[in-house]
Amino acid sequence: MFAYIVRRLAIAVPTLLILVVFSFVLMFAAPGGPFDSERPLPPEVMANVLERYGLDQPYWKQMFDYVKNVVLYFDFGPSFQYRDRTVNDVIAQGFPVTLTYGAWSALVAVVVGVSLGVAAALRQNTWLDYLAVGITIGAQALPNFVMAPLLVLFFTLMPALYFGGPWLPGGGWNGGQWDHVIMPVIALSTSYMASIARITRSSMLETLNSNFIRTARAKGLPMRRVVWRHAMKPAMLPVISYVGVAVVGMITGSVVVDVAFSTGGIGQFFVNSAFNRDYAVIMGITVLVGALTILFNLVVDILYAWLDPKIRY
Amino acid sequence: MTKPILSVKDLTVKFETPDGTVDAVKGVTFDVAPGECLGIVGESGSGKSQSALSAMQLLARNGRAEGMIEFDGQDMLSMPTRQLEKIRGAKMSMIFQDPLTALTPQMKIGQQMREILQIHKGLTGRAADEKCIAWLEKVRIPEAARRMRQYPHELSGGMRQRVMIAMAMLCEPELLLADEPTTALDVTVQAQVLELMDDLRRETNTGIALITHDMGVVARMCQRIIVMRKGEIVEAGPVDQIFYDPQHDYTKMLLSSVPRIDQLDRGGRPSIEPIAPQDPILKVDDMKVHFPIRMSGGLFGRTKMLRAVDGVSFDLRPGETLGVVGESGCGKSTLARGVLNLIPPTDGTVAWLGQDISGWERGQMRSLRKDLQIVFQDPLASLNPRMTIGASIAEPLQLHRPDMNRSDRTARVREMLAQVDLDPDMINRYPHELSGGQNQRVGIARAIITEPKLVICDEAVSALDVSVQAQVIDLLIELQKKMDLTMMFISHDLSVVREVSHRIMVLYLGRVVEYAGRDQIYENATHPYTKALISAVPTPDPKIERAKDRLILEGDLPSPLDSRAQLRFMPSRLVDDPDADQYRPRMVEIAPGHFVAEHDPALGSPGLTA
Repeated sequence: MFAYIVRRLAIAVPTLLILVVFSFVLMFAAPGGPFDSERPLPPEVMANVLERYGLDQPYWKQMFDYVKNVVLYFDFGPSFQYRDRTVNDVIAQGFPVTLTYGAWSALVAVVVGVSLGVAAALRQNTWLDYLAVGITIGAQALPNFVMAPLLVLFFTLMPALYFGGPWLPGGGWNGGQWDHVIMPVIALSTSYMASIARITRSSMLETLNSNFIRTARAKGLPMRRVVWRHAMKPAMLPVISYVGVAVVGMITGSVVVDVAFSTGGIGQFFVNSAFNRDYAVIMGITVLVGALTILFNLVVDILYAWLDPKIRY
Repeated sequence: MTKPILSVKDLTVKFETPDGTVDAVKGVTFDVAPGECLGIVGESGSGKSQSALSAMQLLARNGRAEGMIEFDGQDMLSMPTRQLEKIRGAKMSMIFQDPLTALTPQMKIGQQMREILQIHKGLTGRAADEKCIAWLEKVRIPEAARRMRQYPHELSGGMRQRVMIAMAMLCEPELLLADEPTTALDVTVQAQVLELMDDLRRETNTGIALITHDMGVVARMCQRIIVMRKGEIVEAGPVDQIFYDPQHDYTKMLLSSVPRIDQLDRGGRPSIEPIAPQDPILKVDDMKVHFPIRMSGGLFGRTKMLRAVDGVSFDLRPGETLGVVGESGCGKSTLARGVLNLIPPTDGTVAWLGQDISGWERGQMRSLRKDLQIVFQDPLASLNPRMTIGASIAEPLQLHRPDMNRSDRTARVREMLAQVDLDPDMINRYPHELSGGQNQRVGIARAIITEPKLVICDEAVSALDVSVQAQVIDLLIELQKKMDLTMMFISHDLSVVREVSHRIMVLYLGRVVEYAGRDQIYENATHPYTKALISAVPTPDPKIERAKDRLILEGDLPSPLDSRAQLRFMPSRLVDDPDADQYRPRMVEIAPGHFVAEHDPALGSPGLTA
């Protein structure tokens, strides 16, 4: 197991390098640059600016310098759009926000999703099952850019109009105080929760129909024990592989949530940077997301080995 | 007669399905007495398993049982779940067919056994462990204490089935329901498991309801039999009466379909004809197929060679059938794929019509595929579910007969369907609409439509019910005569192989142990492994079964990755190192055409050295 983890982490390094190369090539292939605008800068100013950020170099050289700085100094370079701030500053400011509401969202999505799915499977074809399936379909059908304004309408604007004050603040972060976190978490977690519930339900149903569950019941075990001791682990296998991807998606945030609730999370920076050709910030966030994806895939694989004794690395 | 432990009267089982109600069991009545083994026999769909599951109240959710089931005087059908759970696993327990899926893969053997004692007897800790280990030892599991800490996948199929039996016996139940307990096991392991169940019945006076399709197993184990068909009992009675004086036509048909290892006569059914000595059409020389297997260990793991086929030589004459027998993991299927170059052999030559085809590329092989065909084991899984059977059968023609147009092909397919005794109007049906036997006929039609010279049947009848199996064998024998087919017939079932083969080759872990004409093999088996195999097959004849002197091969098939395993029958030449290059027993011709591998004396055979 230990050897396996070391091997996986060793493979992560070239994977990230390939990611960097691809992102670089794609960015340079896209037309335009960070300092192009409708009113072009005078050529000598432009040349100065390009030299200042090293953009006059051939791009293999830029790539090489970038990798060197990241590896040797953990320095992702200066941002192009936010003067006087480095990429490290941008990430240090935005990522904790995203991580906070993302982690809460992940927790809510997993706990609610798994409970709903298991409950529906155990009561298949009863009102509880139909209700759970209805909720998950509704939650998946409702996109978060519709959900976010609706939440603001119901919890901020309408109470402000009719009940003398908003129940929850309609935006801002305020250092991550709980009432600022609730609505972003609901908006972000709902559709993930729905997917988790659906996967859990179908996987639990399949597990409950398998031969070893019949054996467990033939041994005279009460149903509660059959579910918890015999069905839970195998039923969680497909759920885990989805949760790994979903958690990365949640903790790296969502543009819609950042914009709708003005949280100042990293998703907003990412999209702004793409519009402004802020190569440095794009690269920084790409590497961050890539590293997190690799990390969570490893976590999923380790969980798999725990859930399924047949898997040995 | 003593008071029955289980008494079933007018049991009906119905399933609500989207296509309407299905009557699985239609009014069945039987009793099981303490210490008795009742055989419940029938083919697939006869309702035999559903009857047993009703007794345990373990039917699928859409199933409903009606009638009367009394266990020890208590009505099972109206019993509340709480009370049922006290009986299940304690007083009445069940063994299921498939040992590979019947144990929870995520729990250790010990955990799965202990929880039974905890729930029913309140026994935990050391006392529980001791009881579990005692039972594991009773079912002859070596190193029982260590097995308690292993997961199911670390044990072989036979071992897992023995764990199932130990689990079922843990609370010393009064009734044991065994649903095809040995069907998924190799014959030598089956012999061990049956022996064990018989001993336990005698020692503990447990009543057994043994559900099986295998008449040989019934003859070996049971005192009374009920024969079921389509949810009804067609005949019931003591074992001798059913076997020697069957009344119902279905029972007679069932008994006459069973292939018998001790008889050549197929009772009026077609049988193979002797063939004239000719030059071989296929000659395989020292074929090896090795697979690299990744093992854990070290930072990057290591690979070990799995010698699936390890130096096999044989030849086939035109119109001849070679039977290839052996237990799971002996390399018989890999051998077939190696001959057809579906898996390129690692070493050795395959000569087809005198031409060495080993190492040919796919493109080169394509021209030969017309002559070399294969029929697979699982008839439903080996046909494309989205293609009509007509399209599946016609497909080889598109490649090999470009001169034929669509209507020619359709005509040919209809002809083929008639040849394999299917209605030509079934041409537009899909595989799921057909029964297993019909699908296998489709598989055969697909294989012979190009008029091949060699057909390899890889366990082609193993998944079929006995009566269907007999029909498919009839068909193969007739086709062979009609089309002058050469066949390789691969099977784990020695009785079936005897019916169809001219010569027989016995494989053990990738090596040939005995290779001879079929009568030589069955009447004069020389290698201890062949002897044990033949002795392990239950004969559908209770008197012979009772009188039989059993040669039981102890233990399971060892891992083919362990190089010591191949020398199981020649320990005198063994180097005790799992990675060592071991001595390879040579083949000795003890009589014209009868080859036996060198071996040490065992199971009543004298030793043999070259």
